[in-house]
Amino acid sequence: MSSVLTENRIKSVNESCRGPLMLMFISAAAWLVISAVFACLASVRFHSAGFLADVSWLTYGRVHAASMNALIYGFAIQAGLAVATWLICRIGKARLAGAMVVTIGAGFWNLGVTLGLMGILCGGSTGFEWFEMPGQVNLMLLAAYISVAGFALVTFHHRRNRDELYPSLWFIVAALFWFPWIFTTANALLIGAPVRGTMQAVVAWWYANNLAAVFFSFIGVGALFYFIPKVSGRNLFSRSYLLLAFWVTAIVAPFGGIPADAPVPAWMPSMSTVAAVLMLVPVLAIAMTVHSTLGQEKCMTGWSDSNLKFFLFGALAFVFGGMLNAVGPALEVVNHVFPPLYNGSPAAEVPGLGGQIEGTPFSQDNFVQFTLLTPALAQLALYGFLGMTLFGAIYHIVPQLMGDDMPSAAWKELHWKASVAGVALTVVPLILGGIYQGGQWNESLRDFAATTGLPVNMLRAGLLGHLALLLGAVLFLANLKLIYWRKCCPCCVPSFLRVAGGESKTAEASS
Amino acid sequence: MNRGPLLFLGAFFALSLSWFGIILSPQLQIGSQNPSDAADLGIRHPAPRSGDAHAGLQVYRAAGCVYCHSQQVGQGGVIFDVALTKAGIFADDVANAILRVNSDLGRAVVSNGVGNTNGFIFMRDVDFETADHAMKRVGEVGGNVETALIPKPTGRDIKLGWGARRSVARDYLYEYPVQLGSQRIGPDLTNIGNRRPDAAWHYRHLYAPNTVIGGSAMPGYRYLFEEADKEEDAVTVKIGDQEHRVVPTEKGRQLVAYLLSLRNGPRLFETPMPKQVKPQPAIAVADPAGAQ
Amino acid sequence: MSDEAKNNDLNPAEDREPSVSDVAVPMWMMGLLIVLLWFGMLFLDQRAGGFDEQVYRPYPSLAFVENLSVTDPPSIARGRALYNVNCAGCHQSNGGGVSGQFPPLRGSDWVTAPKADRLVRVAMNGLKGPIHINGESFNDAGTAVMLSVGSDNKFNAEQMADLLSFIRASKDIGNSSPMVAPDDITDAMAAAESRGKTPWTEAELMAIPVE
Repeated sequence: MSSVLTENRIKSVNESCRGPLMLMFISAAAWLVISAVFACLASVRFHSAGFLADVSWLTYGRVHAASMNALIYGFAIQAGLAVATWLICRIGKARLAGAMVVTIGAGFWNLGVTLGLMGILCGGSTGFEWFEMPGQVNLMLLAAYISVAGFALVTFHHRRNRDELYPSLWFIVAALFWFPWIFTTANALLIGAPVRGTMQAVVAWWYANNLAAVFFSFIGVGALFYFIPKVSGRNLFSRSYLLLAFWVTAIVAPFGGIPADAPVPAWMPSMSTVAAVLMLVPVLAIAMTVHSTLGQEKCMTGWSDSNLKFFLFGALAFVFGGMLNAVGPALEVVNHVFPPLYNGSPAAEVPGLGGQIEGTPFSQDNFVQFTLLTPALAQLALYGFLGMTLFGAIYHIVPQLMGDDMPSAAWKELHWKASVAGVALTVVPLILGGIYQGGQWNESLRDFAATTGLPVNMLRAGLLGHLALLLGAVLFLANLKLIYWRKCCPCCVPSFLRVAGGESKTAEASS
Repeated sequence: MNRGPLLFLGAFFALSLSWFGIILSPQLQIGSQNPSDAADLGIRHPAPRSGDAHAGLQVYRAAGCVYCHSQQVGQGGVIFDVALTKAGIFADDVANAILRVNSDLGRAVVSNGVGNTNGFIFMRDVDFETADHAMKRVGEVGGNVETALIPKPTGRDIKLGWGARRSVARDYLYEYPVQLGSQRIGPDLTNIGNRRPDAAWHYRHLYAPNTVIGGSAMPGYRYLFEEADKEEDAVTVKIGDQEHRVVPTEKGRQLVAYLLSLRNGPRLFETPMPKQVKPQPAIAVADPAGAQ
Repeated sequence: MSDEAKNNDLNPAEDREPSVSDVAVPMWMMGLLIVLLWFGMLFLDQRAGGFDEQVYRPYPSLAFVENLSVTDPPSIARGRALYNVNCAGCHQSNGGGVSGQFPPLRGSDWVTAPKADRLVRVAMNGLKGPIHINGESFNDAGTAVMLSVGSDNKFNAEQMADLLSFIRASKDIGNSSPMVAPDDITDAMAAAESRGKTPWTEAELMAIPVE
């Protein structure tokens, strides 16, 4: 029977992935723990100004940057890459090509992130948000990335399943192309031969926006649209919806990311505003695809499914974050296209030239720029959407790689609860703080210092959330370590697995 | 979509679009700007920093100040003053026209102002349409009457004293890395050198922020200081009942020199600001800030 | 394999891959995309400043910025450069001076007098002894001396005129008195030539009319 053949093929695919992917999953989980520790340290600095003030490498600016970079480069990119690799192997029904090189590449990626974080803590940060790791390690990171993603693409090329491409693969393959290009561009223009003045900020915004709005979105959405139908046992709704979402995102999203009041010519922030509004279409298409795939009923009952709920949360966070991102820009566009709607005077042809124009309600200049809504949306995208989706994917993949259940279902459940609580306790206070700042920072603001109290309290409250995330990350790591020890250490068969074990230990020891 | 190459080309095309749009074309526009050589400036702006202030940017970067402080001033709008620069030969008609567009002015003030050859601001803080209308009405009188429109940047940041005008790309020509910032957990620092010109204040603030700004959430930066052994250059910081006598390390000195060098720039072509018109109080309740 | 299927208790059989249904995108969604694109273009038409590099928010167009952009007389601009190098150290770049130490230039009755004759002499030869400015007395002890700026032919008459015009008539300083012409400088110096190059005192200067 063909199913026996398929079973054997799947088994062989999983075996080929086991070593390198387990290394990447475990290291990613370790970085998640490290990131949470740094995030806690950063929050503590808001509780006590004098605490650790004598230690340069524990100053707020450094631990905050270390925490973000551990989360982005250590966890999100690494785990995303591993999940993407598995999906390519699995959907293409092909064994992972160059598993050995992938393993070594993953090892170097972790080495690079370790050195990068040490660089940040020693004061070597580049000063560009989301791109802080010192330039010297970036070459190593790029080589490591290419050896992993390159072989994933080779595997894709040799896929056995020659049916029409499954939608997840569009997103994932495009994402794999995307990263090296933006990373190289950022390196060349910020570190290699730095562009002058404000162009640095433009390049840094472009890089961070492409990383978040395209690379991470594509990896997360690609994973969602494989695992949601898979876990719920239903068919994916509508190729054409996703085709629309894919192309609109790929073409429009990279134009975002320039803040409204940035010191650049007016057309740049205006392009970003329009891009943010257009992004409503893919977000809507993706929301409808998730909804129609699961059906009304499953959308509700899915929350009791120990795996599906991770994906549901991820999808919800994606849609919510996407909508929230577009609110300010959409209102601004509407305000300018229909001026009578907000000031009753069709004569105000050129807003901004008449004294009180800034009174437009919810103008994005007030609400989004410089307020805590920015980190709130970033946290929601990184942890609520991508993180949760990757957790669910890893909980799905690892038992198959190892041929055993996760060692502790209770830990998994607690990890879920801690993560939900952690995301809520970090994102909600930031949103509240951001809305408060937006409300206060209007034209009549005369005493800035008086408006900083509540936002700072919200940052203080974030400590609770980061502690919850830390707890979740520790349980996640423990579960992965345990299944690894249980299944691999006794037998340790193929030689590259030994390398894998060694690498993952060094990665953790050094961190 | 069934082909890898098609997918690759599609992604390549999409990314190229944004690369041309957001990287290349701005680079062609603002990537090769020069310091302002506008004839009216006389000074070059911006000027590169030197010495301690130059090194201080790297201390600022390494400490990650950028995560809480922005360095960019926004501008919500422009408001206008209108001045009569030359009354021409029909001074009485001009005075009447002025009274028609701004009835708040007394006749005595107007006839006095029209007689003044150095310029007479007869309308303050109005929007563009009103100003334009007023200039047209007064200009209709003819007889070589001349009026001038005086643009004044306004907006939240400017009213907070964070700068006299918005920040533009040219202001950052010599910065590497540019530290624009995305958060305002603390205030904007574009103009901090003018707002807080006292180095000792900065030292005390960096050592123990709470002692100079009550309730400040800024963490202390004690690692930029060491205990004083020489008396003369020590800074005294009082925390509670305890007095600390400390001297900044080299990095601390550089950081403060950098902070003191941060000043909002002068008028540039991109950001029109008032030209000198005799600042006399034409309106009884003159706004002293508006007069300059 | 049965083992694996059991592991993922909530998963259907592992070999069943999801398939994709092909429902067309509804017209309203394409319509929404087109409407948003249209709005976006209207918005860019208003708010992109003609894609010009010199137009920043909130200015609408290059023509508008150009219209507002005004220039100082060239003499003021040249004077500013001289001032920043030679005077700003004591009198500050805004001419505010330092209370009790360096007299202010902004609003000073010495600077803004209708004629610049006293000011020219101070700048050329310097000033010593106590002096009263707007009623406030400076240098009571008489020890401080304002050094000469223009002696030794360091500047020609034109440069001196630029410098003093800047002090008297620029918005940087905040004064708006008539500017100074090169002839004013040469005339004043010719009148005072017999006196030599020593710094002036307040008493001497008060004898010179400025009305």
